[in-house]
Amino acid sequence: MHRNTFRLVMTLSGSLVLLFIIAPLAGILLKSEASEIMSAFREPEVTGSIWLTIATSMAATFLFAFLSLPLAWMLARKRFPGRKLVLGIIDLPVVIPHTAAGIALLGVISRDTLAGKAAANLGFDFIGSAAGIVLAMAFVSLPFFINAAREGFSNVPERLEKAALNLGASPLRVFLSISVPLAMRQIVSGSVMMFARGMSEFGAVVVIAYHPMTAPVLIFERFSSFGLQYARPVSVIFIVISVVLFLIMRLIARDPENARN
Amino acid sequence: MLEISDLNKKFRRFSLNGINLTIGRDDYYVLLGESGAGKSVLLELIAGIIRPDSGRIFLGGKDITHIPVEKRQTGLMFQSPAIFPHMTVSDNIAYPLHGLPGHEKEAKVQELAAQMGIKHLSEERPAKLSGGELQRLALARTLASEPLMLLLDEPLSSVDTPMKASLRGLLRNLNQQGMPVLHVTHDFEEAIALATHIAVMENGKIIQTGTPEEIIHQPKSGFAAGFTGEKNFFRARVNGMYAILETSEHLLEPLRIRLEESHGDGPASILIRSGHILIATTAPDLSTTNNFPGIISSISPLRDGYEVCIENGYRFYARITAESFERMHLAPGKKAWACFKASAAEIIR
Repeated sequence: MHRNTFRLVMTLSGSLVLLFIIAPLAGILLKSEASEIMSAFREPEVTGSIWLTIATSMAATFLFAFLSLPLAWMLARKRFPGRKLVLGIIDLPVVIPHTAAGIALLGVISRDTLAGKAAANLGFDFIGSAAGIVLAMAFVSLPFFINAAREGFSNVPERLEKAALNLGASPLRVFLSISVPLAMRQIVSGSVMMFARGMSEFGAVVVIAYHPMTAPVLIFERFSSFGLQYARPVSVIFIVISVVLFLIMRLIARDPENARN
Repeated sequence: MLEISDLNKKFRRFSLNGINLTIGRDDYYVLLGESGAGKSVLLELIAGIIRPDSGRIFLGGKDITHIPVEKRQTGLMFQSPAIFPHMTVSDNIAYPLHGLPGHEKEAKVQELAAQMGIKHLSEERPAKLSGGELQRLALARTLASEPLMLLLDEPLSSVDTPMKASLRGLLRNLNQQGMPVLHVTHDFEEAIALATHIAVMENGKIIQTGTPEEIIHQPKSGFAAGFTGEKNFFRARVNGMYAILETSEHLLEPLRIRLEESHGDGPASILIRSGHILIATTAPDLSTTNNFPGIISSISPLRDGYEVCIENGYRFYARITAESFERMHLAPGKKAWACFKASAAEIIR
């Protein structure tokens, strides 16, 4: 009896939490009319924002994942003074409000800053541009990538790297031919998380670039200007696309070739 | 070939102190010691994975103390083989051959795979290989890097017993073809089977170096004696059912030890555990097939009895209880027989 009560409590609380996640998503899908969704899908503004969201998040992931691989490896392999501080700093974007993150980022990329002026010299502007959106997305989603890649590198037996060095390979070759391939599974899954997180970002993006509009900004704009009815079809489209993309990428990350190690 | 001079390295709870070691071109040097004695650390210092606090390391006459790992040409093999799991067997062997033209690389890989007896596994993934095959692969890959010497860290510990003998043979052949070896182990038998020289290590220090015979018969410390444990160790040549013991004194008639079974003719080491040797004070009428008369040359007390040495040009050490010792009135200078069964003679190759 006691055991059954315990099982009942566990199942009920679990179901409640699952319902909490599923109900709004199911609700929005059920309440939306197919005709509304189709007509929203035909709007260039909607498709444009979705493409922009996917493209900028992908660019942020590729660019910053590539740049932060060495840092992830260093954090996994080296013990240096201030390592814990660096680990804390990497997690900061997760804990601060994302609008505040956007404001902070604005402080280093607006037109009167060094980076802003350098961009202006090259003929573009971070503010109100795809480049700014990439930075905002990267800023808030990088921790997911770095932590996953660091975990991946930590799982690579250090003696394999030592053996490769002993066989005459340069440290760079060891990194590229041993450490990265063996940590690939976590690197890919970290990239998927970073991409997904970047796509869904609203707070930091809206501060840096209201226009051009990413999908989350477009949804917010339609909701605040025209109301729930008008925002729903775009939301449904974006939710479906996000889920499908996420599932595809999770499947890629679980490719047995990568899973072997 | 390898010269280590006053090498020191301090860790938080352990330190390697004043290591001096010289290894010649033809040497098969075994570094013997308990786990935690600092043997592996010494190998990593030589390979350059760890940097020493002070001291110098010379390899082939060149000071390599401050040279990076990848430029040292020390073929280090780890206790559990560090095979790259995401590459095939042949890709593993080819790893050090980076930069070589394709056909040369292919030929070299095939040659080494054949030499190590793993050619049939070329396209396999390492996950499918046994412990012995992995160690052969590690050896092939190390040789591909053309090392000046081999540094082996307990290379046989993850290998099945039947495979051990053939791997030992491989290592011995490599050494005889001119590859100096520094082999770390805690296994006394392994040391005897392979070593031309042994260094005994304890608490981060080398406490004795010498030939296997010197280490066994004149241990410089209680540790060395306790560690090697068994002293009835002889170089011999097996001939059918007999092992003919080597002797340095030409006048001495070589002793023939009857074996239990034929092990194949050729050189071998014979070990007779002192607990397996019986002592008789009169000509014995026993079922033992090996009964050798001699004179008691020394008697040393042990924790649980006595160790009696019977000498007849060779030394046989027997362990007996205190009761037997008193009953038999044994004393130095007295005639006695060392008796043991054919099955007590262990062949180590």
